[in-house]
Amino acid sequence: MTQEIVVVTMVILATAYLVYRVKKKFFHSNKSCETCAFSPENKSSTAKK
Amino acid sequence: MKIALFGNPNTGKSSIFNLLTGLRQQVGNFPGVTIEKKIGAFNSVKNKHQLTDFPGTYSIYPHSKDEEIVYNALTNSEHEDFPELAIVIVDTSNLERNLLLFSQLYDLKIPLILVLNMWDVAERRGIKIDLTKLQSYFPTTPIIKMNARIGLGKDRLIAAIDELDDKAKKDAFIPSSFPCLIDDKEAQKEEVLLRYEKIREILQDVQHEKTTINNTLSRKLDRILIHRFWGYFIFVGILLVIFQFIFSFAAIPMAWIDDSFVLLSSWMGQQLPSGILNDLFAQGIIPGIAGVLMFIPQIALLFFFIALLEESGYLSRVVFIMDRLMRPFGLNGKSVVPLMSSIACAIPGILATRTISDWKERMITIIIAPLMSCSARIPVYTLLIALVIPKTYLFGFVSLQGLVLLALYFLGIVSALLLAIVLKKFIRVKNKGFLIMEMPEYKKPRWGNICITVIEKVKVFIWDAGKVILAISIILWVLATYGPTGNMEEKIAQAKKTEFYQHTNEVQKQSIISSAKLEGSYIGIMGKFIEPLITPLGYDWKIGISLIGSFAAREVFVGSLSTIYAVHDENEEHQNLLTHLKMARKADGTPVYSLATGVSLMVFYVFAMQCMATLAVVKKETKSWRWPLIQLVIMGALAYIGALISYQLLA
Repeated sequence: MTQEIVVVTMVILATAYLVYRVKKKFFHSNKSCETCAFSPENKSSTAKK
Repeated sequence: MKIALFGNPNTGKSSIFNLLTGLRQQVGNFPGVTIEKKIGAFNSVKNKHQLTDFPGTYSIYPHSKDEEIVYNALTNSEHEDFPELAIVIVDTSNLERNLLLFSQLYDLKIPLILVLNMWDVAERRGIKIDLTKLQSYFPTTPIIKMNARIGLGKDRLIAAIDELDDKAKKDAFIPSSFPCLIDDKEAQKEEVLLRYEKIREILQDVQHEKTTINNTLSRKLDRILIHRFWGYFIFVGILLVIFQFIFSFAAIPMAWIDDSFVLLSSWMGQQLPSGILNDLFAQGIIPGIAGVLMFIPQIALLFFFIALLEESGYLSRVVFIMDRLMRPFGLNGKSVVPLMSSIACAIPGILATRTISDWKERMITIIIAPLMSCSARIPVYTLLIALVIPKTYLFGFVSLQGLVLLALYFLGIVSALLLAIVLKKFIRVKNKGFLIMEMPEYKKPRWGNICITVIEKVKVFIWDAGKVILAISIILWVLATYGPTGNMEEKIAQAKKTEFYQHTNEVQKQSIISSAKLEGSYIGIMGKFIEPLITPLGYDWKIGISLIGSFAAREVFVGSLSTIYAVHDENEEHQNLLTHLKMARKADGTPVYSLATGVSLMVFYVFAMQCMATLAVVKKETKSWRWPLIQLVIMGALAYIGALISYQLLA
């Protein structure tokens, strides 16, 4: 019974880890990255003197 | 105090950042290594400081996204990164070009320290700077000579920070309204010309140059290494030598690691009480992890050679000759560094595209970058080559296996260039950027640095890929061990009824039962479902499942195969992966991994976008799902068609 509980826990943890990784990779906004806001519409702004 | 590092690309800013903060930010021998600001902290005798390393730029006027960071931080005193002190790092061996940025910062009236880095390189090139005279032109700015590579001048720099008089008054470098508007290119041009005129005047007074042996040697070597014909010939030769080493030297430790895991699996099986936990370790986790760790020798060797080439200064020459090669294909000069970086990993390559100012050019480079064969493909390539390519030598010393590996790398490069031509038809580009880079002098490699690079890269490979493979191995094992109620028993009963089973020996009978059990499992059902789609490529359902698993990362393919075959052979002696695959047979008794199937799989992995992390970076960089999806479809189609043609031609 103990073995079954350990295996089920490991499976749950493995699945949760993979879901967490996908979520982190694709949906996590990286605020420290300034140049990520890249798109053809996003042109350089004119500097103030 | 808020301190910022500025300077042209490749002047050693990141080295000084690492020296002061004790951090290990990546440093490179070509421009574009730092593409976003990095923040660290350090203490001087008097104060605590925050240090920001900005991307390299030639002028404060930006030409690309990474250079905009510098402009924004310097032209707005309200900006969160506006520095209280700016340290300008210049390459002493090329002061004329480097002092332009310094002169602009000088006129912004920000307290400055000028660091003359690479003093040793300048001396070797026969360049002498009269420091006292130079100081007289900028009396309020401390000027420090440094050699950041070996940490020389660090104490002088820290002392200068403490002693800085930030209230000291400065005269303007040039009498003009400064800075110009970001869009006023004409005014910028005039200003830059005026600055260069003044810089030349100063340098005529403070700088003296004479030709040295070292300088001449570098030039002589360059005559051959960047030659229009011999340059490419030598580059191919060097790659061939690297791949020969990967096959000849890595094979021995690779076999040790693989065999050690077989022993570990067998030992674990005896130590743990029998049950599903025992099976999970012996058939799932250990074979899965072995599938990653056995490739450490190859990965370490690859990064050793990349680091060696970079340390010696040769990699900058490769960037130069590749620039010449890529121009006929319409690629931007600035695409070269991202594409070359992608040979190690596509992610830094895609981040390095921030140096490309034109968004269309940048998008084309982002799309083709993952076609350059990255280090994650090494495990897949080497496993398949070892399986299907004979260990023979051409002319007695050129390994055929190494030659095939080289051919796979070239297939990636050529297809990237051809795809660039096709994409140009759809994404029309008006402005072409040019690559401006300094050729560093040839240097003796620093072995310590090379070792650190290799250890860091191997650590990342084991840690990043290892965690995903561990998780996938556990899930795969469960899916391969369990199935819908009665399904496995039904498959076993069906197998036992076949005539082949009735007349074969005991070992074969065990194998047939294991196969039937696996076919009846959840993974077997999934595999059989996709089998019609992959049969034309020469793959069976076990390969199909491993292909799906490797959508997370390419190297997962090997770990997945390792787990599936370990579950399949649960009743047999523990064997290593290569033996499992060599012994794998189809229903008609022919090998599963024939030459045609092996080549088809290799071609598939040259083209396929099997990397979740790269897709995520493309999505982040382009701020849309559109481009990663387009990339996934293009590369997926190329992979399928390429694999189909290869298999059909060879089968």
